[in-house]
Amino acid sequence: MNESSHDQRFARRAAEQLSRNADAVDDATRVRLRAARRRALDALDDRPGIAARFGVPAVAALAAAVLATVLLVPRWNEEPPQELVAGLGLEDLELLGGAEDLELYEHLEFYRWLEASEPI
Amino acid sequence: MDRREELDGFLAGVERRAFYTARLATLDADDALDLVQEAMTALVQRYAERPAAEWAPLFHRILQNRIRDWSRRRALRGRFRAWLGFRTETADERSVDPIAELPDECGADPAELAERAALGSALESALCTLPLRQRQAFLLRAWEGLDVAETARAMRCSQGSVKTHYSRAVRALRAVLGDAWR
Repeated sequence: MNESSHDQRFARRAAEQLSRNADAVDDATRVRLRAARRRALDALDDRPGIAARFGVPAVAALAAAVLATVLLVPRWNEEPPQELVAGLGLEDLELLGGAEDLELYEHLEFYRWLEASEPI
Repeated sequence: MDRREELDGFLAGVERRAFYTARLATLDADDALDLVQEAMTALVQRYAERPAAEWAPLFHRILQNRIRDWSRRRALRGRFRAWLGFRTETADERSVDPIAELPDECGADPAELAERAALGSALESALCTLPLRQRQAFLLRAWEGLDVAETARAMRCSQGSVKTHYSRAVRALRAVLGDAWR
């Protein structure tokens, strides 16, 4: 048996095992998946109109701009480290503007306080 | 059968595998469920009117995009947190454990490693050691049965890249899993 057929046999066995693993999710997860599916299907009834489609990106862009200003103005004169800016693109800025990241930076002062606090 | 029933049937058929795929990438059930929810909602909102035959490749593409964005966001957030001074690491600390310097797309903190161990199977653990792109290529090609062109569309890369990622993934998995899987 050559290397390629070994690989194919391996891939088949792996796929069978993965299917067994995926089917073995616990009951709680099945319930949550079913609920997720229902919520997704509810979106069928209230798909966003044109205003919402353009409105959400506009709000996200505004939030990203505010976030960038808040973060960068205090460090205006600092040279950003090379490892930070290497490979950084517009897509990354968009990712930084994600909801959970906004939440993180809303608690900036708390994290700074935590960092400065002495461990007990 | 109306469109809602069709979509319900499609999503019911893919949800467990989607959750498992996301779980392998995030090692967190809640994050994985969030990604699956987002992918389902995006498919319904944007592509419900498309022919049902197109849903599977579209769903794979959306889910893989979400997983990729999740990974990049996580890595980027770590870099910004370090830059903002939340966590500073001295050269001495870095030199303590050189293994910690190795790339690990699944994350390397102790809690995640423990969670990975809890995942159980050797195959799962081996998949977690793969870089994200190799894992995506392997799961889409070997498990979801997508051909090279479909996988390339789902991963938003060239067919040549898919072939490279896939063959590296198979080689790495076979090396890790050893004789029992040959």
